[in-house]
Amino acid sequence: MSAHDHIVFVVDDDFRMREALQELLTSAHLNVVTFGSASEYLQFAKPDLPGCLILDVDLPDINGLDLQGQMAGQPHPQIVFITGHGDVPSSVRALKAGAVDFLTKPFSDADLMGAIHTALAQDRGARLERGKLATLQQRFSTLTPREREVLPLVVSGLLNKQAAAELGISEVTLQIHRGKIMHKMEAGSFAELVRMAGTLGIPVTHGRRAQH
Amino acid sequence: MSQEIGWYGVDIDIDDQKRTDEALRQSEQSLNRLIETLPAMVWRATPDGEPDYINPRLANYTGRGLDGVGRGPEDLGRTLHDLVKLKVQNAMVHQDDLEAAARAWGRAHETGAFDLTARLRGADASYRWFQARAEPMRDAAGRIVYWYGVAVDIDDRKRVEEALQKSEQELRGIVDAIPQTIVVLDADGRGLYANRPLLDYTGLTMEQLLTPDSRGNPVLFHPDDWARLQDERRQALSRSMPFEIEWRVRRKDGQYRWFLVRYHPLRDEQGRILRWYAGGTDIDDRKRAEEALRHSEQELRVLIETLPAMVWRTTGDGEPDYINQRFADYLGRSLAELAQQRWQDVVHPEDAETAARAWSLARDTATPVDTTCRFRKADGAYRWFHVHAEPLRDCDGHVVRWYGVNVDVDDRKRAEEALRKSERELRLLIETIPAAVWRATPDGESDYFNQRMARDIGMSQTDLLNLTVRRDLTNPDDLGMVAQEWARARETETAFDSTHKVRAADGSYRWVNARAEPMRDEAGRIIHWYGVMFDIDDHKRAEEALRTTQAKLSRASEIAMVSEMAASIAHEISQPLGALVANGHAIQRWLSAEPPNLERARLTAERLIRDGSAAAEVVNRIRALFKRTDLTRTPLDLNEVIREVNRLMTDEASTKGVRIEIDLADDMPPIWADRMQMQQVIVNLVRNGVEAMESEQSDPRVLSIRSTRDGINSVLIEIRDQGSGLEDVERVFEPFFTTKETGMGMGLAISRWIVEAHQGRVWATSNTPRGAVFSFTLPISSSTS
Repeated sequence: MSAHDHIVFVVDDDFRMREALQELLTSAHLNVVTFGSASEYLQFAKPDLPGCLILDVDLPDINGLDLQGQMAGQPHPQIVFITGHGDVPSSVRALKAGAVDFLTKPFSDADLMGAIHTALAQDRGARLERGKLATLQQRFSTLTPREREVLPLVVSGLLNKQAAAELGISEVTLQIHRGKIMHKMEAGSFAELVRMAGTLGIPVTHGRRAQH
Repeated sequence: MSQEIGWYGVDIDIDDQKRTDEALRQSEQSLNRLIETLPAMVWRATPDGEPDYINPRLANYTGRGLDGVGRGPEDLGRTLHDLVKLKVQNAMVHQDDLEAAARAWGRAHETGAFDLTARLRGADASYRWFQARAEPMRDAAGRIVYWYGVAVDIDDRKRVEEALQKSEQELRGIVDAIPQTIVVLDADGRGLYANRPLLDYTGLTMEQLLTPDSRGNPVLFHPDDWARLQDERRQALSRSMPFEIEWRVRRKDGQYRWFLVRYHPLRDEQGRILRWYAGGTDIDDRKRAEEALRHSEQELRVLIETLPAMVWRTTGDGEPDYINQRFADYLGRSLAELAQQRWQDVVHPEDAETAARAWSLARDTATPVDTTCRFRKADGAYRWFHVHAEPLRDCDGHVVRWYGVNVDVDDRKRAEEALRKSERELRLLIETIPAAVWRATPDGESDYFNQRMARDIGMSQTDLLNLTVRRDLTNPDDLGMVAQEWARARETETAFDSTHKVRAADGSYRWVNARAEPMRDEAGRIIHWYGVMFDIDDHKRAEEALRTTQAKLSRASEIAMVSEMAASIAHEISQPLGALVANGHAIQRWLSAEPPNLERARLTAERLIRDGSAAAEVVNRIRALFKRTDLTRTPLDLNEVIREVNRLMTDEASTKGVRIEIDLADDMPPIWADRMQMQQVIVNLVRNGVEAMESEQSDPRVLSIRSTRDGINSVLIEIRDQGSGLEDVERVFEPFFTTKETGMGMGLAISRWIVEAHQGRVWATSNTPRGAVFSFTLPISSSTS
């Protein structure tokens, strides 16, 4: 693993724990940044790299689980919880909210490493997905209003004739719009365009069944 | 008087005779014939009175002529008187009348008229009464020439007269003898005669009596009465009809007495009033009686009217014929109005039937009525009356009247009703109150139980009285205690209060709380004990359940506390341990790297040691935590603490079938200790002992607590159970050591910590024949030792 393709954040109020984890993760060739509190972590300008957040549950300013809740809905590193006394309800809550693991101190080297690698891999995947979406969104933003009207109709499976009738335009005009959309969205095939529309969350307004 | 009436019947007129005499002279012949045929006895006499002629009728009567009486030679020189005396006596006149005859002739010479009534001898030698009358015929010189006379046979009349006189005499005797006053009055009402009783009564003579007083009023009557009644009398007299007047007549002693005087007229043939007969009867006594009666009647009426009761009377059929004013006022109706109504109209509808029954029963049996009912007042309100009526029977036994009196008993009735109601309510209250109520005599014998108690116990109230409640119903285990409490209550005359078990209707024993208070009379003597018995079984069971829950809770909280403590300890230790382990792993990695990074390994090892020390420090801190001794130590009487624990634990122990006995030394000195902690130690040990016996089946299950002095410097407490005993007397005080399914095994450990914190010692030994003995000693307070 190269030094620049990942980053591990450690948030723990106990400096000994921070030191020990930094030492351990460094010895395992991982890039580590440690924080004594949640706010320090939040203020930190994070590099755009796949990351893993090792988060102590009991923090002085904000509870680790609450921090997890705050970050939900925005891109954030995958979380591995560590705690001095793990109780079942907390762990269940953490895992349900998407945490990779919930480790009770003292934890084994293997458990920690496994959790970190899982987290990094997941984050990497998530980041990739996020990148693809951003590209598609960028491409979608180049479409004209009319093309944005045409796209849902064609990906719904309507025939050109039907889509043209829907919009009150000629079939030829529709075909021109469709060609431009395929071009602008850099779709290699109509099937790819349909997938792109799905990724972008464009609603399928007309069921195919209606044609039959 | 009466004899004078008789004289009216004769109509011989001297005047006629005179004229006849004249006629005779004129025609002696015819006169002679007339005289001969005249239906009267006629005679003539010389001026001397010597008869010289008698008519045939007279001669016929005497049976001889004048020859028989003619003057003989022997008569010469005799006076007329003598002659008459002799001749007539001898010849005609009754010897007894000769004297009268002589007087009559004497008078005749003086007055010029002869009049004699005498008996003349008839031819048959019997004598008959005659009236002889004669008048003289005179010559011109006025000398008497002849006496011309007639003789009339008045014998019959005379005899009637005599009989009449006799009868009158008899009558007078009667009149005087009868006990009535009689006055004879003339037609105008003037008094003519008064009879003897009246004279005797008035003490007056006839004259005095019949003479009016100075004002012209009769002396007889009371002036007032006369003034008042004389007009009435006068009018009555003028009406000529019998009448009567009541007035007072003066008695000789001056007292006036009431008389009823009946006036009866006597009339002649023409109906004219001749006389009034006034018969008086002394009615004074009757009058007074009447007066008295009237007075008493008046009084009675006043009495009846003023009586504070309603008085009434009905006919035998029950028709009202009198009601007193009070009753009338009450009803607002007069008797007449009442008679037109049905009696139901004045009696309350609810009482009508009862009243009707009482009334008809009384009438059927002619026995007094005695009932109570409401009568309608004039204003429409009803009031209660006690009605009592008695029948009045005639001589045949038929009821002719009912006399009744209604007494207003409304207030009393209402008071009674209120009383009854309150009594009923009270009884209802007592009978329905959700508690058993009982009463006992001063010596403790129960004499009343309410229904609730009977029901709870499953017996009738009567049956309950027939048994010795305490002995028969109290749980035998509690009997002694209850008896003792009773004895105490009676001894001290203070409230009885006992909680024990009593047999219920289903045969089970239920917990009750029985309390009684004495009720005293004015003198302060106890009359009764009044008691209630509450079924507190449910409460008691709930209490037990609560205690169990509490015990569980306290156990749970103990567990929670320990668990929290453990968690806290774990956190404190896991933190440095976490770092320590992580550092360990890091060292391992540095050392196993190619090439090994010794420098980093050494640095990390240093940290590892540092973290290890930190962990050790945490452990020390925790130990110190348990040793923390911010206790409130005061001089403490352990016996008192034991008694307190006994009180606290008795119920809990008894639910587990364990009895606690305490045996405390008298000479326990105070110790210097924290009360709460001491309590906790003893509670822990007691609970431990109770729980050890809980599963035991055999009796007795007794836990004893004993305090003794242990040497001069300490005291010893022993808690001895009869449970299953101890397997390892050494380990029992270790934390988390437990043989029980429940519990953390902390109780004994804590106890040991506490005892040791107080510089004491705790240990366990086996009891004989079974069970365990937990003992601890504590040093005696330095201030007293």
